[in-house]
Amino acid sequence: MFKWRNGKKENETPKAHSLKIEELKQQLNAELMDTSDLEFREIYKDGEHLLISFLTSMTDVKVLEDIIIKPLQARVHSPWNLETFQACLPAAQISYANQLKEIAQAMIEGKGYLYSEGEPCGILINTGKIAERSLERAETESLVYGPKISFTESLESNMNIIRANIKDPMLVMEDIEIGARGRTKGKIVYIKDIADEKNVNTFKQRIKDLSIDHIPDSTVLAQLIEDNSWTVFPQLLTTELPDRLSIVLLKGRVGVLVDRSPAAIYGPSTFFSFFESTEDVYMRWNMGLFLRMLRFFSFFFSILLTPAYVAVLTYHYEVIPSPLLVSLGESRSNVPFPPVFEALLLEFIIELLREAGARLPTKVGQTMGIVGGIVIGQAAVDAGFTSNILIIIIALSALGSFTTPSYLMGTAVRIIRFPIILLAGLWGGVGIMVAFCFLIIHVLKLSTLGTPYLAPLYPLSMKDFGYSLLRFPFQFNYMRPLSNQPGDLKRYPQKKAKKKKDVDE
Amino acid sequence: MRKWVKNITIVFVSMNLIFLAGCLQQRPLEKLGLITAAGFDLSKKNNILGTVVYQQFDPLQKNVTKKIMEQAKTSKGLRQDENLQTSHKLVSGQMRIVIYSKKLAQRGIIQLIDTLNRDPTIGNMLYVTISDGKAVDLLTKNNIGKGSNLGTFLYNLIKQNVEGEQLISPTLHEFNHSFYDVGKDPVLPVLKLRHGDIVISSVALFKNDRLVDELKPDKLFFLKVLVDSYKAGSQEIPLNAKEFKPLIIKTAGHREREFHDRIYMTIDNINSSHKIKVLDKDKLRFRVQVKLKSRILEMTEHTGNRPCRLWQ
Repeated sequence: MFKWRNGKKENETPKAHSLKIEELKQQLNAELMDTSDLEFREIYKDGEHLLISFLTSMTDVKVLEDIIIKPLQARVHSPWNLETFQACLPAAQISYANQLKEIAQAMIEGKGYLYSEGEPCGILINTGKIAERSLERAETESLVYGPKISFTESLESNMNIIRANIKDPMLVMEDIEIGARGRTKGKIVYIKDIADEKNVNTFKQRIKDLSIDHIPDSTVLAQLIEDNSWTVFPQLLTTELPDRLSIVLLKGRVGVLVDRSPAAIYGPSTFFSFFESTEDVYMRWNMGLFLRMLRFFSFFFSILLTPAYVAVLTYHYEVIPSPLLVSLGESRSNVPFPPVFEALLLEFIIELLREAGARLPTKVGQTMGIVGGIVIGQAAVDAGFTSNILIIIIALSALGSFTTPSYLMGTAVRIIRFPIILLAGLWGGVGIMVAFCFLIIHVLKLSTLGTPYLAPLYPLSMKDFGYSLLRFPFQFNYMRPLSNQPGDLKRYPQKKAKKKKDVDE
Repeated sequence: MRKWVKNITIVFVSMNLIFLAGCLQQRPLEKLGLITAAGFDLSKKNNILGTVVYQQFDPLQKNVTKKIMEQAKTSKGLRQDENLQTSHKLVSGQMRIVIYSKKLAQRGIIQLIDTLNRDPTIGNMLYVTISDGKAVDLLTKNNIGKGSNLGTFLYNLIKQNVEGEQLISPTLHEFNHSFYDVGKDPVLPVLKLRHGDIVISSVALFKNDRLVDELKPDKLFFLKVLVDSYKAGSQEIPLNAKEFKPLIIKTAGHREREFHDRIYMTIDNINSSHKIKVLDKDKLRFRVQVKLKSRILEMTEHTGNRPCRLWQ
């Protein structure tokens, strides 16, 4: 693979470009590998020779004309030197440069290079245009309640949203660059006096130590810097909701924004934080608590319901309640397969439907629902392929896995179901127990950014329950979650939180 | 070295998973004959005649329940013989009710109860009952439709009456409790075939594991009050009319009505409690104190709505 060449570059001797414009043009051409979108605009005046070079693909020509060419043409009488440029160019950001590599890199980023022959250095002016879409509603994390705005692919506008959300001068954005060839820009975002410095350093160090050519998206970065890459459970959360990121930043977590990626990473993200939705906070506490509990229950349902069906019908007929016995037995008697095979088959069909629905355009996707839900479901029962009770169970567990707010975790839930079904078919209830114990031990062993994955349940920290496992009313959540080890512990004074203000006061 | 150990462990575990899976006996629901009710009779001198009602699932027929009879010395021996007659494997995990004939119960049934206790698939909530007449007849000659499951019917018959506090709960657990407890003996309901219908005719009283006496249903209330606390259910009780004379309001038509020496009263119980004290250890005399708190639902005489205390 390609090596991260930061260290090497420092050793290279700095090389200033030639002072002759003709030679400079050749040098730039050589540096940018004779790329066809390299454009030179030359202006002559009383023996003075001026060069404006830029990449047409990265430059907004209108801006270039307005802020460079027009002011220069208006001041025909002043000499073309650095002082004049500095005085007459209406650009907010200008920088001086004479290193070939630096100039080439800046031009790739959309800057124009202005050089007057004989001067020791030229000026880089930002005239870039970057393709970006406007702010839209969040697609993957859709909400009923609360802010709808979502991150876009532009780092600048993402930073803008975050700054607008948290106007704290303590909000720090540190530059990072990822990928030797991709050179993707990014920001580590945290609040200086809240976030634990250890977490910030872990993020920084892991990203710095990466040697990779290019990361296409922040989700890839999350995979690369995770603690354990063999597990199915994601250990870093990605979100496309700016309000979600600002909430967790204020809880003392650390975020990473990556340019050209609409999702922010944040950590440390524990197992329970994957079941949090911003809606829990926006709703009144009792509804939020109910919804959060619902999600945990549906997680367990989703994992254990189908294996329980398989185990009971294969080994433990004793536990079937007598009112259910007849309907269960009758629907099973039509099925030629053993329960394990039946369950795996139907789970497979559901996964097929989900995948097909996700790949297809929305309009065709609706037809998929009808074909899958009604036609296949009904026909499979009629043909004696599956029992109708299993269809209900499978549909329930599929629904349960969709309630998880994090798409990654939802997928993980769907995957771990398969081995448990298999074990339930092989060993019955004992198999489910073995699988479940394995799962618990595995999750206990995991860590996120070096902190325990199962916090606050293990290590137990009762004060954090109001933030993760449960959702308490605001007067009880006056402390920031301790498991994030925040520098500033208090969100607001406890006494004031519990005080009720009378109307006449 | 450690990696080598780890690899071996993984191979060993996965081999266990695959090969040990064959050691477990599968019992797929649709291949089982689920016994829902079992009856036991005394036949000849020392044989028992067993009858089982079982349910099997057949794609072509709806709700199939079948009955099999067989003779053997032990109830598990019966099971083996019965198994020779069925296409589905007979299992007892869904057994809801077991019926012993009165003749068998008079000789003692603990050896048959014991096998129920030993079988881990049989639950403790199984109902134990006695049949007046042969258990075979009760299970086979009734006219409860073929469509409905006899085991479930019998189970609901008992359950409904236990919940309505008409019966003392006759579960296997309570049988064991009263049997093994000091100073307590089991009480089981007696089922009887009346014109093809199965009814609860009386309650059998046991001494240890032998049936010794029966109690008619109208007396059951008093037993129930002595054993349990009585919370729900209404009861008609006869009382001495003389004690109520001052309370009775003489209405206009009073003289037309014949004055009974008994007054009947239906009460609806709210709660009850009892105290039993031994007065004489040698002659075994007890003082029983029962406190009832009830509502009067109906009386054969008019007393108005004045509050009153009753004795009996």
